[in-house]
Order: sequence, then C-alpha cells, then structure tokens
Amino acid sequence: MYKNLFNIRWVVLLASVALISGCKNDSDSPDPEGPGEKSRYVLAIRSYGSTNQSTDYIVAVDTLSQGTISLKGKGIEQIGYRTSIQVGNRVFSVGFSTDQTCLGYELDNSGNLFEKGKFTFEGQIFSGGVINKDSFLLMEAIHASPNKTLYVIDANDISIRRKIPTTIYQSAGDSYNKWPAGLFVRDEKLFIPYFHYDSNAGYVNTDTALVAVYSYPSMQLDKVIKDPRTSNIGMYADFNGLVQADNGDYYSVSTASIACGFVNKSTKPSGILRIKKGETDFDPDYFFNVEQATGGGKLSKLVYVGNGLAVARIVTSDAVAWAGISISQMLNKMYVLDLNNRTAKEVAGVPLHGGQYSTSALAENGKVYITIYTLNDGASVYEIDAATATGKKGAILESAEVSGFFKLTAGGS
Amino acid sequence: MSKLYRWLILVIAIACCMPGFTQSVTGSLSGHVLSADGEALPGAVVTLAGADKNAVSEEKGTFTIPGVRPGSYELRVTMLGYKPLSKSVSVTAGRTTELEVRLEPDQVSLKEVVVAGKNQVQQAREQAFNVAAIDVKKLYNSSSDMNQILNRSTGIRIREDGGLGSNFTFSLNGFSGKQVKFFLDGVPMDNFGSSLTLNNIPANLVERVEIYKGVVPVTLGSDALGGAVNIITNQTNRSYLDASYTFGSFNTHRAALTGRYHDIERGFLVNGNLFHNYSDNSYKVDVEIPDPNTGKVNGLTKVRRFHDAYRSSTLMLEAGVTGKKFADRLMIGLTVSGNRKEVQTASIMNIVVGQAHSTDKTLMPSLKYLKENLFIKGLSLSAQASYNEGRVTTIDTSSRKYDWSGNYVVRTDPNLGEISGGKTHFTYSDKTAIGVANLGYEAGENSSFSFNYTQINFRRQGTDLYDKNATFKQPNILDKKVMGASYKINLLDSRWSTSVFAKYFILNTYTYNWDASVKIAAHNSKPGYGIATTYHVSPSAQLKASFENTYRMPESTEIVGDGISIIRNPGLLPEESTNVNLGILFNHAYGKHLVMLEAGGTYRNIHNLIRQQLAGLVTQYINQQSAASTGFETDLKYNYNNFINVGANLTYQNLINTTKYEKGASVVSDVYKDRIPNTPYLYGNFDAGIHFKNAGFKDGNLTINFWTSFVERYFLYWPSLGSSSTKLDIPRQVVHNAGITYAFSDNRYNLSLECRNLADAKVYDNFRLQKPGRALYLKLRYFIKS
Repeated sequence: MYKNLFNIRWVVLLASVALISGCKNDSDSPDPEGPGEKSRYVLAIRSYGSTNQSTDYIVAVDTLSQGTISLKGKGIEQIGYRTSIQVGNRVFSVGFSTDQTCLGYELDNSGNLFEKGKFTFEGQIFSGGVINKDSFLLMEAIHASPNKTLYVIDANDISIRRKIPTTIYQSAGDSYNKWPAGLFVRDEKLFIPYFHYDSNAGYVNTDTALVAVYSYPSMQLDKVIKDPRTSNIGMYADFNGLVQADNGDYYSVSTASIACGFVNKSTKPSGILRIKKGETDFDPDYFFNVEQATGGGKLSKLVYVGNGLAVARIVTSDAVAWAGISISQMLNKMYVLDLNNRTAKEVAGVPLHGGQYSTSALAENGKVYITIYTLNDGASVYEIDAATATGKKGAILESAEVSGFFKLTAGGS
Repeated sequence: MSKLYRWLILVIAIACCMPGFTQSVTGSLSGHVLSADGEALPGAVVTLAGADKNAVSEEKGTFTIPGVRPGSYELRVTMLGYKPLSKSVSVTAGRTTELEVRLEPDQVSLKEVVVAGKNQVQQAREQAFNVAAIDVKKLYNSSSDMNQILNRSTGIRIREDGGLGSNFTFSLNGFSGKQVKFFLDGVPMDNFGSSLTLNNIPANLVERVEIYKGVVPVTLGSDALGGAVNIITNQTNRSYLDASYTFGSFNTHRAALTGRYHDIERGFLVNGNLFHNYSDNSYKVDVEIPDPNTGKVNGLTKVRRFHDAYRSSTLMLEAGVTGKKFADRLMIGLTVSGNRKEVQTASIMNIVVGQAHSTDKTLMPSLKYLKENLFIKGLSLSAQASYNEGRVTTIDTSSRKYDWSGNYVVRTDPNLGEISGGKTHFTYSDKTAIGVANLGYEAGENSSFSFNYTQINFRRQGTDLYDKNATFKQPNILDKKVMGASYKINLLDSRWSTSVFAKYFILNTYTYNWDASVKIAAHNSKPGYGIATTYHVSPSAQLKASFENTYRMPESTEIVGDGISIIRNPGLLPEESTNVNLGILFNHAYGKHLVMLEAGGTYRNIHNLIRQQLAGLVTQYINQQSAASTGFETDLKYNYNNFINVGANLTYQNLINTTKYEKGASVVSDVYKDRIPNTPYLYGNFDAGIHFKNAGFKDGNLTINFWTSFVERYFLYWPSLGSSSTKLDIPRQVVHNAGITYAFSDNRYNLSLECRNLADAKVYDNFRLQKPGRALYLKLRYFIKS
C-alpha cells in the first residue's frame, strides 16, 4: 500500500514535469541547449488574415512534424508582402513593394531570432538567388519598363555591394519585357531563366524554354539558350525556375500552364530540361515530359531531395487562369519525380489541395516539408518521404501558409 | 486666383447696389426676447398667428420676421421654462415694426427655472436620433478648420496623412470613409471635389454641425451606414460680413470672406463665400535616409518636407428671393473651386516623391427652393438640385528619384514615374447631378410625415497620356436613388417623441474591365428601416433609443478607383448594417453652474463591410465579410457663469472581425473576433477655457483656451498576431494645444493666436505617416452685421 502511494506520487510528479515542459515547448523560446549546435527551423509565414488582409511574419520553431504553429503573440511582424531567402546562416526578408527594405535575421546563442541589419533598395524585387554563404543576388523588375536592376548583396555586412542595370536580354526590335524566373550562379556563370511580358497581351511566347547565360561577376552576356521541347521556364512571383541536384546539374521547371498564370496557352507539354554541371546548354538528350508522366498534370513546383529524386506540386486541371496558385481551388497533388528514370509517382496521404504564390519547401534528410491547404482541414505542414512517396500531416498552421522554410544554427554566422 | 478676386469685387458691388431694387409691398417685424430681469433669451419661438410665419430668437434674443403683409396680428412667444406670451402687433408696408418681449418664468410647470433657453444646437441634440451638435459660432476666432473642430467631438476620428490639404478619412464610431455621408445644408456632398472638403472649409462659413451617429433621419436622403454629418451654414436672417486671415507655421495662409446681404423687406438675399488656403506643409519629419550606394540606414534624421504644398480656392455665390408667396426661399447659386496638391510620399514614408502632383477643378451651379404651407397648411416642400463638373488631373511623369534631403538622380529609364512605377498623366472628368426633394406634412400639433427622394447620377471618364488607366476610356456611370418616408409622433405632452421610417436604395452601375473592352452592368436595390424614440424624464434629462437596418451602396471611387492610387473593384457589394443606439442627455443649470452630460452606447453589426486595404503601393476597396462594433462614449461639459468652461470626452469602440470562415473554408479563422486592424479604438479630448469680459478695451473680450487630444496605441495589422515587441503600431498619441483670443468693439475686431502640438509630440497616422509638430497660427478677423 505504502509502496503504491509512493509510486502514484512519482507518477503525478512526472506528469506535472511533462506538462510543464510541454507548455514550454509551445512557447516561443527554444529548448535550453548550448550554443553552436542548436538548430531551429526559421519560417517566413503569411497569415491569411481576413479577406486578403494578410500579414507576413518571421518565426522560429523547433519542429515541423507535430503540434501547432501559431502566430498568436509570436513572430516578428513584417511590413507588406515579403519574399525570403536563406544565405549562410541568415534569413533575409525582402520587402516586395510596400516596404523597400531587406532585413537580415539570425538566431542568437539561445536560439531566439533577432534582426541583424537591414538595407533599402529602390523598386520591386522579383527575383533572388544565392551566390555563396557570403553573398546573394536580388533583381528589381517592373511591368512598366524592360529595365531592371541586379543587386549584388553582401550577406555579412547586409548591404548593397553592386548595382547592375540590365534588361536580361534585349535583341533589336524586341519590345517584350523579360521577366526573371530566378538567378543561379554556378562556375562563374549566372543563369537567368526568363519569360516574355507584353503590356497589352500579358505573358506571351510560351512555347520556348529560355535561359540567359552571363559570365559572372563580369556580367557579360554569353548567350541565350532556347529549347522548343517545352514551355517557358518559371512562373510569376517565384524564383525557382531552376533546381540544382547534388551533382551540380540544373533541372528546369516549365509549367506550360494557364492555371499557373500563362494565359497565352503553351502548345508544349509541361516538363523538365537539364543543364549539366560544367555545361551552359540544355542537355539535348534529356527531357522529362512531366505532363505525360503524371497523366496530364502541370508542374508548378519542384524540390530536389537527393539521389535523383525530387518532389513536385502538380496542378491537375488547367481550365481556369491562375487557379493553380489560388488557395481556394483544390487542384493540386504532390508527386515524387525520379529525375534519372523520368518517372512520376503520386504521393500517398496528401489530399487534393489549394495553391500558393511562390511555394516554398524544405528538403531535409530525404524528406520535404511543404504547406498543404484544404478547405476542410485548413493549412498544415506536410512531411513527404521521397523514397516511399508517402506524405503525413505534420504541424498545423493556424490560418497561415509558410512562404519560406529555412533552418538556422543558433549563435549566428 | 486673380479671377476669384474679380468675382469677389463683383459680389461686393452687387451687394452694395441692392437697396432700392424693388418696390416693397410688405413690412416686417423685429425685436428682442428678454427674461423678466432683462437677460437675452435665445431659442424662443416667435409665431405670428394669422400670417403663418415664425422665427426663433437668436443669440442675443433678437428675432426678425420678414415679408409680412400689412395688418394686425397676434404675436405669440413661447419658450420652455417660461410662460407663453401673446401680444397684438400691427405691421405697416415698407416698415419694420420693432418690439421688445419680456417672458415671465414658469414656476408651475417646472420644478426649477431653466435659465438658458434652447438654441438650435441644443434642439438638434435633443432629437431622438443619436446626434451630436457642435456650435461652430463659438470657434469663429479659432484658426482651426472643420476637420480639426470635428476631431474634438466624441466618436469622431479624422485620420490625416499630413498637413493642410492632405488626404484624410473621417471615422465615426469606427465607421469611416464613405460609410459616413456629408451634407452641406442638407445637400449630399457627393463628388463636390477635393477643394470643398472638411479640411478646406473654414469655420467661419459654418453655423453648426449636426453629427448623426448610426441612424440618419430620412430628410438627409442617404444610404449612410455609420452616420451622417450635416454642415449647416450661417442661418441668420441678417446681413453680415466676416473677413478673416490666418497665417502661421509652414508658410500657411488661410483667408476667408463670408457675407450676406439680406433685404428683408424686399425679400432679396445674396450670400457670398470666398476662401483660400495655402501651405507649404514644410514641417519636419523623422526619416531613415539610406546610403545611396550601400542602402544602409543609420538611424533617424530630421528633415523638412519639401514637396507637399497645397493650394485651394473656393467661391460660393448664391442669390435669390425670400418671403415670397410662391417661395419662402428660392436661390440660385454657383460654386467654383480648385486646388493643386503636391505629393511628398507614397502610402508609406520610405518612398519620397519630389515632382508628382494633382489638380482638381470643380464648377457647380445649384438651385434651392423652400416653401412652407404649400397649398395647404402644414405642407412644406424643400428641393435642391445641383450639377457638378469636376476635372482631376494626376501627374507623375518625372524621371527623378528623390531622397529625403531633396537631392535626386535622373533615372535613365524613360518609363518610370515616381509613385506607381510607370509614368502617368491622367485626367478624368466627373459629372454629377444631384437632386433632393423633401416633402413634409404637419398633421396637427403632434404628428408629422416626411418624404424624401434623392437621386445622384455620377459619370467618370478620363484618359491617360501614357495609356494607363484604360478603364476610364469609356464612361463609368453610377446612378443612385434613395427614397425615404417617416412618421413622427409626440405623446405625453411632447415628452415622448418617436419616429418610424423606411428607406429604399437603388444603385445601377455601368463600369468597364481593365482595358475598357467589356462593359460591366450591375444593379443593386435594398430596403432599410428603423425607429428612433426619445423620452424627456425631466426638463433637464432625456433618454434616447434608436435602431436601424440599412445598406450603403458602394461609391464611385470605391468601384472605379481613381486610376492612380486606388485600384478599381467593380464587384463590390453593398454594405449592410444593423445599428442600435442608446443614450442619455442631461443638461442642467445649478445657479451659475451649467452642467451637460451626454453618454451613449452603440452597437453595429455589419456584413460585406467595405474597407480600404493596402495593396502594394496602392490601395483597393474590398468587402470584408462581417464585422461588429460595440462602443461607449461620454461627453461632460461644465460652465461657470460664462467665465470658466471645462469639458472632456472619451470614446471606446471595439470593432471586431466576425468573419468566422474565410474563402469557403470550414476551419475557423485565427483572426475571427480579432479587432479590425489600423483603426483607433480608444480616444478622447479635454478642453478648458477662461473668458474675461471687459478686458483691456471697455468691451474687450479675452479668451484663453487649452485643449488636448488623446488616442490610445493601436496596431496596423491584426492585433493578436505576432510578438508584441515587434508589432507595427501607431503609438499612443497625446497632443496639447493652446490658444488666446482677444475680441473688441462688439466683437468686430478679433485677434487670436493658436499653438498646436505644444509639446512638439511625434504624431502619426495611417501607415505611420508623420504629422506636423509644433505650429503657431495667428488669425485676424473682422466681423460686422446689420
């Protein structure tokens, strides 16, 4: 009897400890661990708000696999729409239009986010790309003008190092505005996939994949590579037109999709081309017809996982303009794409879901984390295992989507 | 401007030539109403039985009844708290019969003698509606404009972008923008142009302002949702001239000339108002100036605004006849106004503008008709019509890129403007026809009917030299009709008064898609109804309750945008609101101590709330699904013997988002029941004054005033989201102001000095736009009346 009481007391005590520590985990502060080794997920989150009044936040969390990620009383509030990019051990939050400021964040020794510095630029940033852990690129673009500015940013000093005026590519008599679909630096070459914008007709000439290749840092235009096997690369408000594999090869994303915003419908199938490591041309022997492999789906997002596997968001219906990125249209499925064998497999356990502007995802240890939104269930982070092509619901997102998934180590850069 | 001055000279010339203009066949009656011990009694009702004419005594107890046919009449004078008085008078053609009336206090019907009579401001306050009335006459020597005056009242917040002439939003109990309707002497001020707004109109033009919160009377034919503001210009029968000139900080100049010539005997009336506003708005702001090369920012720098000048001029002329058989008043008028406004920043202060500007010109002829006892006794008709042609040009064509120091670089890109990306030189013309008719019928002493019909037809068309804003290549048309009927009954010896009313709104819109290739027609019609009741518990205490279910049709700018900073939204739906208002009003004199207390509770439930949201560098009006507001407000005033006055008011309104599900989702929104962002919810005002009679000169009056406004901190984005230390907010704002006024020679000469924002507090509004710091204004005013 006495022994039992003793045990019960221990049980109660343990339960209380568990409860208290459970509460702690829910709070914004990280687990107390030594500096240096501690890593946390840093998320750029867009709260849905009400009737389009969304607000962006930067928040650090310990897990993506369980619990609830809430913005109630948490997260660093941002001005206006943002894009975000991780460079080295920092996350940069780039104002889109309301606020022409780029803020650099890192984790302190205890794993709390803080603003390390900021700089301002002049226009609307539509593209970005990492050069190395010390520097990155941003590109300003505007629909009213073909003229753009490429900024080279010092990620350590958090300041502009260089401003380069560019039109991406303008041949004589060409009146189209070239819209960037990402900035990719590899072996002293800058690759800029782009598409055509016309002030009256919108996004046009959708039947060719286009990449401008520059020597970097000299910024001499080497050439424009074109490929007629698929549509133009990339989509509006997204800068992931190319995806890099572990061996350094680039794979391109061509949506050929009205639902992804290309109202001038492409006659080409949605698919993937390759620019091999060390090359500056499309690999003529490689084309992955994703549309065929998924039974008519359109590729809207590609995340490289490893071992030739990638996870893709596929739009299942191409009937309505922009519907693929509309949150309230349940048109999207997730697939695992085998880039080497050019096969596709639908991910089990992920429902038909709504779309998102500039979808962000994180690949880590063979798994991909991505926001999945359904009308019935709201938004959650899903964990997709590429090897088994299965997805499972992870942390619940309270009326919000993740617009940037990152992982930082505590203690700064 | 020189054109306007020429006009002015013409007005004065006309005014001077008027005597001897027509042959008189009537006489008139004028006099004083005094208490038994000789104090002037304003607010007494003077009736000339047999002639169906009446008047209300004015500030100094004076009254005038013009246009009386010769003969003998019975004059009746009544006033609450005094015994009614009857007296026979005779009127001679071409003569003014002068008389003095003394009223005896009525000790029997009232337990206490009411010392002060009720002027029109008090009468307005005592309506069954939830109404606030501001006596602007007391503020004629203040250099404040109507915005600044209204901002001191309960329930009202004026959100301003900056200094003189800046964009502003009027907010009433949490409702703002177009949800609150404005009237000038009962005429809806729709599309009156940006020169005839509350921040342009000088106080001297206005006699009083009635602010209807929630329920709006049928006579103001309108689809207001949050309430209505009726600006009532000088109603005196007398001729007068009021000239004032203000100058002050930031090179601010404001001149106003208002006058009236009224030949009562001949029944001829001319009103003239001329006002001019100018300011450089060159006040200092605290900004971040980035390094031009690295973009790095080193803290805040104090700089002067350098491209924010505003200039506006308005001439309002009106002439007509009074006291005729066919009309008590028939006036034709013309309003000419124009302004030029420079733009200093985009919707946030980081984006500096140095050349973009806009101009606005408006020409508006009008007609007003008023006749009481039309055909039969008790039937009255008032009708107003106006046609308004406005022309607004927005010019953003500069290739310069400015910084806050005023330096600029010329951008090589020929396509870029300063504000919205591409260059724009956009002109649109608005044509608005407004017709208002009010028919009233007094069925006996205690019940009355009233009917209103209002129609507003609006048309906007415009072109852009840079081929943007193509949507206005075709005319965008909005046609709105409002019909209303109400019945009012007084019971229990007029202690209990109730109005029931119904309204019907129709809106037809014809707009175009972005490139004007597809015409979009929409039709909306909605009914509204309500009740307002009030009970006088005692002569000094009154209870009020009102309820209304109503709609507001989206307005021109909300649907079609302005082509530059506001994006169009043709799919906007009417807003629906249910509002409930409860209030008490207490007004009592304890000897020389006068106490007034108003307190009220408000409830608003809104569906399809139309709200302006920031969309990048520009804004757009959208339908918020639903929101609800509960509020409380109180106003306390104390006056000792017209020597010392102290007042304070406080408003609390909790406007919350009641949209439970977003976009068809079945998951409850995390901002459900959160407070609507970027809306002040707790604010108040304090004022105190001291008044010395016979100071300096024999009849010199010296007044010293102090007033403070307070707005509690509020958030720009959803309050519940984000960590509190990082939330973007407008911090708590406390602004003190002081003024000193000296008037002499029967208030003919007036001098006043005002200091706003005494403590030079940093004041912000909207998306953290900084407003002026300490500023000084001196106003000189000359006033004469017949």
